Amino acid sequence: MDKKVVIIGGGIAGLFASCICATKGYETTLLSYGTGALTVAGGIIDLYGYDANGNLVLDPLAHIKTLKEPHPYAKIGVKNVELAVKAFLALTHNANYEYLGDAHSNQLVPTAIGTFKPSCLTPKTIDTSLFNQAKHICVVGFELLKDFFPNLVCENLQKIFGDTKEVSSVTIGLPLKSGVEYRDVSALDIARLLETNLGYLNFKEQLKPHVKEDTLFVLPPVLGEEPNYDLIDVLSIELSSNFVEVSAIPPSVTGLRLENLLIHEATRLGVDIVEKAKVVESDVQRRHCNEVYTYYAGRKKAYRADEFILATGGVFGGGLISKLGRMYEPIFNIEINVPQNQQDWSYPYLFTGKPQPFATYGIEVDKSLRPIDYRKNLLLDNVRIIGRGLAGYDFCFEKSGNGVAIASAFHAAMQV
Amino acid sequence: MLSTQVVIIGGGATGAGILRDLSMRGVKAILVERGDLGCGTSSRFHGLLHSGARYALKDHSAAVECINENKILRKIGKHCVEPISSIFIKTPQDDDEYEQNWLKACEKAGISTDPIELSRLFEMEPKLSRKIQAAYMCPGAAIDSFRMLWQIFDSATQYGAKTLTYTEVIGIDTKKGKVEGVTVVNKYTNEIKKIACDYLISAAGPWCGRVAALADMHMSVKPSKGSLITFNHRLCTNVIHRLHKPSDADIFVPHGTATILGTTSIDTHPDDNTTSQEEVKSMLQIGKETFEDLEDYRILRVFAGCRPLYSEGLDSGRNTSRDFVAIDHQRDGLEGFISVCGGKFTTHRLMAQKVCDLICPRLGNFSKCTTDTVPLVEDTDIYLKRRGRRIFPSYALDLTMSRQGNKRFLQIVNSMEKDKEKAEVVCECENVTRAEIEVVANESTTHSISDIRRRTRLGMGTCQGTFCTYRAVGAVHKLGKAWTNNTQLLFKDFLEARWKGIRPVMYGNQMKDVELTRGIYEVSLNINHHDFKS
Ligand SMILES: Cc1cc2nc3c(=O)[nH]c(=O)nc-3n(C[C@H](O)[C@H](O)[C@H](O)COP(=O)(O)OP(=O)(O)OC[C@H]3O[C@@H](n4cnc5c(N)ncnc54)[C@H](O)[C@@H]3O)c2cc1C
Ligand SMILES: Cc1cc2nc3c(=O)[nH]c(=O)nc-3n(C[C@H](O)[C@H](O)[C@H](O)COP(=O)(O)OP(=O)(O)OC[C@H]3O[C@@H](n4cnc5c(N)ncnc54)[C@H](O)[C@@H]3O)c2cc1C
Repeated sequence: MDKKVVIIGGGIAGLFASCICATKGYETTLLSYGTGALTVAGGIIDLYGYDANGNLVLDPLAHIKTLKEPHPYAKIGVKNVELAVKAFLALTHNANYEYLGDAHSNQLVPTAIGTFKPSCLTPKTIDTSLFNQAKHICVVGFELLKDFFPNLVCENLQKIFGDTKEVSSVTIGLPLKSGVEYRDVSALDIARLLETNLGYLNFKEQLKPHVKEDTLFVLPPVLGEEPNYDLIDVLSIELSSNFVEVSAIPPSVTGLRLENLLIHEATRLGVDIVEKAKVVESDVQRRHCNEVYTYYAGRKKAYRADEFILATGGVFGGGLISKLGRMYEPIFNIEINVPQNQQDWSYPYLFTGKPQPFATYGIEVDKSLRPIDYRKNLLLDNVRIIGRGLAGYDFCFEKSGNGVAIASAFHAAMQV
Repeated sequence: MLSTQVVIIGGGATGAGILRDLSMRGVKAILVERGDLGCGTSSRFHGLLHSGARYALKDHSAAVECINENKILRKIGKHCVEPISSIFIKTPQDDDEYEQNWLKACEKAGISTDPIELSRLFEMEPKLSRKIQAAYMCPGAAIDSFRMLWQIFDSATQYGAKTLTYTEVIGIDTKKGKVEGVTVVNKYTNEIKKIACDYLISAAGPWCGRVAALADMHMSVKPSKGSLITFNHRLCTNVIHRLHKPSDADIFVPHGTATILGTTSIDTHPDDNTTSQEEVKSMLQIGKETFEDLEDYRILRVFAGCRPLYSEGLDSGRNTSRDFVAIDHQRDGLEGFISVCGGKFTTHRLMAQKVCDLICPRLGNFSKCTTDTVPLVEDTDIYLKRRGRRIFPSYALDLTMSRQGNKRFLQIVNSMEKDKEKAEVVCECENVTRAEIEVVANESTTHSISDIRRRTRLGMGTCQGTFCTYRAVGAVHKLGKAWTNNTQLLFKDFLEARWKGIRPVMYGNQMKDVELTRGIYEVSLNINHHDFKS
């Protein structure tokens, strides 16, 4: 009989793990509730960007090799991290939405304030190599899109490139509904509009006069809502120019594309995705989990499996609960070892050039990602923890969020 | 060299009140403030327009002053006062005898104390603990200090007053036992200059001792720190006081959609505005006697200020007088220098009046005080409001009008009429539009996003700046001012200022928001680095 795996939490970690489990032929169920960080985060895979001193890392994989426990990468092992990256690239390739990059180099991705951030794997709409060959950079803004400021990006890029490149900006007016009675326009609205004929033609005609020799258009994430490259491919040809999206503030269109892609792949591979399935309890006997229970509309439902993967995220995703002087995981009641005094959770400044202590709080695990207590005793023998809920890393400081998520997801899936 | 009749040190309520009063009497005055207006105690406070009832038993004259000033500020500053009441509640922990004596003392001070039947009380304030045994309604209210301060300064400016912000007094110049002027340094330009004056008034609040020391004068100021907790809910319709001898965490003041609980009282140095976890815990513990479910409500942030208590003797904290003192340093041999310290926000106008009555005759000016009758701002212009209604996002209209007054509101409406994108709401929690931000950013006293925050409430709501910081920086950057140039610094300054108040209470939903904020600014926008290899 097939092994049964239940994965709890449908963020990037849970979705990716479910794809791998299904590929391995397990009977896989994904219990998903709410949206994960993908919808606010960039949809690009940071692997490792800055070392402990805040210096830019050029070769993420080489640096990961030097990391010590309790960092999750040290537990997963550098080989498995590399395999996870390959598996992710293969998955995106098979789904016709291939990501660029490799585990041995960081790319510098432009941001919505005209800085650059290191990341490892990016969709083709963020091909950072295009900056090298561009002579002209044109930052594209949209009327009514309130969360993007082309002038700001333009000026800061000009400061970076000096005389080597000419940077300009343009604002495009599209037929969007506006006024007191309408809600604000977001990048997602524009992405949807550009997938229509009317929106596309309007956009293309307004950009045309700005095309010069070797022009790179830098724009918010608006090149389509769906995970495909139709829009960027056609635009690049018709305007003989290049296009690159920036890393921007929520809602994250690039993240939504990746989420759609993963859900689509998981479904195609036969994963049973159960929505609105909030797991509230577990049945554990002698460190072995038999069932977990969801609760919806007053009805309790049991899910039995041989192996469980917990991918409920950290404090942001709801996988960890924090109280004054206390933190815990609510499904398996795992107490997180945190200082009693809230003051010791963080530094007086938010940005101190060091990782923040509170960001590293999470579930301690062994090398196969099973939870352990502070004496290193195994707590559960068939539950593995993946993604943001893991202890030992500050993804904001080192830039490693989705990297740890896919690496731990892959490793856990290979273990079960 | 700049020269004037009077220099006032300190842009809090006391200094502002004196500046307006002097200017209305026709005395030339310059006020210097080392930070932004109201950056000291006058914004780090509870925001309660006292009725005086809290002080009735211990300090009759302070109580009388409060009730009189309460009536005056409700009239002259009606845009800054939320005209609610204050309810004094007696819990089982509170003393019966106190209640009876308190009622008599209030009557003597002329403060109304209408008993409320418990059934009615719980209708009015359903979240209150059912253990409460008695309740009385008094005429306290909530006051918006930023708004009132700004209106006082605007009004003073119309009477010819000058204000220099981000200008610190670093020396007091004297000659033959008389003050000749002050030496100041500008925080942004580091430029040092002198201002000559006939008279110097220090209204430096808890820093009065340090300022007096610049002229080798002694002032015994005992700064007493109080911490406050802001909840993200309106817990009560009216101000809720405990009916007992004033002590910690016994007042809840509702402000808009939030409620502030305070305070503590800890002897310290004037720059201390930290809050410890013990303070938070103990306040929540006491607060639960008033609202039993208190711990279920989300805390937005904590903050603290130092009471500028004056004491010649050994008393400190809640035992020192809440009354104010004006020390004429002539007593120690220096002519032309007065320090004003103590008191309350509620009584700042009266303090100013008394000080001006004292020194104006010495300057040959015998005009009478008129600050008690002339409103701070003119009434809102209904034609302008009608124009605004056509273009404004609906919720923001009234708020913006009362925050900014007619003159700025006109600029805001003009700007929106020219460009409809200016009607965009930048801060959704507090309904601040892009046009409002631009108008405020263009003022000469604005040097940072925090300055804009104090004048608009930008970033003070539920999200604590998570989303609006990006938009505000984008909006001000367009204006091309010297201070808007370094965008990464603008982000950091503002987020750090918000962080300070979040840090001691970073748990629950607040911690979620911190992760989101860090995700956006550190990860997505990488505001801490300048890396690019080509
Ligand atoms: C603003 C922001 C920007 C970021 N930008 C980047 C970036 O550019 N690059 C990068 O690599 N990383 C980035 N990150 C980090 C990255 O997004 C996270 O590290 C990663 O998404 C974590 O994934 P996860 O699946 O572990 O957790 P989550 O995404 O939090 O998913 C957990 C899921 O579990 C669900 N859940 C929780 N409890 C239960 C329950 N009881 N039952 C069922 N389901 C439950 C949640 O609703 C959620 O859907 C960013 C993060 C933020 C916040
Ligand atoms: C916790 C707490 C709660 C309170 N609650 C209430 C309440 O609910 N109701 C009420 O009526 N009152 C309340 N008060 C009292 C009230 O806040 C103060 O009495 C009042 O704000 C004092 O105003 P001020 O102008 O004297 O001092 P401040 O507002 O402190 O002003 C002094 C100013 O001087 C400036 N300064 C200092 N040194 C220099 C220098 N060398 N050069 C230039 N400038 C300088 C400072 O930057 C500061 O802005 C409370 C006080 C505290 C601490």
